[in-house]
Amino acid sequence: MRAVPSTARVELHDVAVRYGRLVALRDVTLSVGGGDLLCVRGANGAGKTSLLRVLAGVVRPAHGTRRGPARVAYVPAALTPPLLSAHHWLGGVRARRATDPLVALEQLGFAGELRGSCRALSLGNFRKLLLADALSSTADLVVIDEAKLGLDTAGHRGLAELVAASRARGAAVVAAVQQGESLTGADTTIVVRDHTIRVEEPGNVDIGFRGPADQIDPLIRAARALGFAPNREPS
Amino acid sequence: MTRFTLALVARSGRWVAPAVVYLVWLALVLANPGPALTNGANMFFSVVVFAVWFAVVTGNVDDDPHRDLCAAVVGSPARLHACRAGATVAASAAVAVVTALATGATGDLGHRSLLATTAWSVALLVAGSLIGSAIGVFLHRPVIDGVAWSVVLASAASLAVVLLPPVQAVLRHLDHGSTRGVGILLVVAAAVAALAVVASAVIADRRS
Repeated sequence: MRAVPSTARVELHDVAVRYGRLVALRDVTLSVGGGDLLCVRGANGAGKTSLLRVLAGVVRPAHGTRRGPARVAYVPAALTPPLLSAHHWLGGVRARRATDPLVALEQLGFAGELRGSCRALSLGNFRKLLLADALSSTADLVVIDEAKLGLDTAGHRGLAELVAASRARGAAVVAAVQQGESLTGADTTIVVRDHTIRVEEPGNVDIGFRGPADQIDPLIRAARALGFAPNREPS
Repeated sequence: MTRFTLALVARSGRWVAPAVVYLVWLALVLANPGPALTNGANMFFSVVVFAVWFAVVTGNVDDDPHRDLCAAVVGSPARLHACRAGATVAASAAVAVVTALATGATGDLGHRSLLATTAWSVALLVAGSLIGSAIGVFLHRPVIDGVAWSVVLASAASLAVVLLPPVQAVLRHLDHGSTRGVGILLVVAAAVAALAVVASAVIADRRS
């Protein structure tokens, strides 16, 4: 899926995220390259959002290091819509675009009023606005929390197309979904459990382990023993 | 991002309260105008208060997830903090210039020309806006979370600044028609504001 060579790569090395005394994430080492799509799955409160925030560079790791591109598009799971019109918000939030966000909105099946306030949009249409903004940006890394939240069938289809287009231009994409959900075209899937990550479906994304060996799901460990899984052994 | 932040603030309506306080103060000063430089000195505190208040409003204009989205756009929480500080400085400096023009146009010029009087008033009030911005950038999320703390610290810091002996001396000189110390005050205020933006951006980055 690497149609365009890209230097876009985000790397976390032995990262931990803390909020006060609460450890939200620990022992995370991974590397996502340009054109990769990493799917992050996990239950509520497992640490998905903390992983995505640290990947996006909007939270500083309490431990470990993050290296990544400067141009990042981040779609949070939930935010209060601003009082600006959708058109004004889309035009003002970032200066440059890779593609026309209005075309992206159309692909997502946006049915809201562009000249009206963002507050007047339904949850689904506001999510489509955020997705169109991120996926039409020039960002080298696109991070989407709760990627399928509020989307209808057209939204799901449009999301898959726009993610594929972003990967094709060389951007790395990381998207979180709920347990039991999947992401079309994801080449690696990890699950966040007990505030750390485990590989569910190995792929291009390089996942490292700094914690104890039992952090790796038994199936993956068995696959590794048989020489099938491409990822590194635990250190 | 600075222009976008100002648009967010404008549509939020949160600028109304500081603007009303400032306008009432301005109306009181202009209703009974004395010497133009004295009018400028009388408006100094109101410009400081406006700048502090506007900085807090600008920093708290959105919720945490929207701030994360904006931080990702500009590259980091520290850069976003600096952009928002820039928006505060731009808006409060504009208010300072308008105030200087109003006080210059309505007050007694004495032996000075309108241009010179207005220039000294601009220097003084822009210094006030920079000092207010320097205080305000420490008083909003993510540096300080609670609005109550912001209000208490903003009030205390604004009062402390105006009661500082060097600032008091400059204001007293202006009251007597002398512009002694205004230039130095402007330079010091600019340096303090630059340091405050850098320091508060570092704190914002660590607390994000």
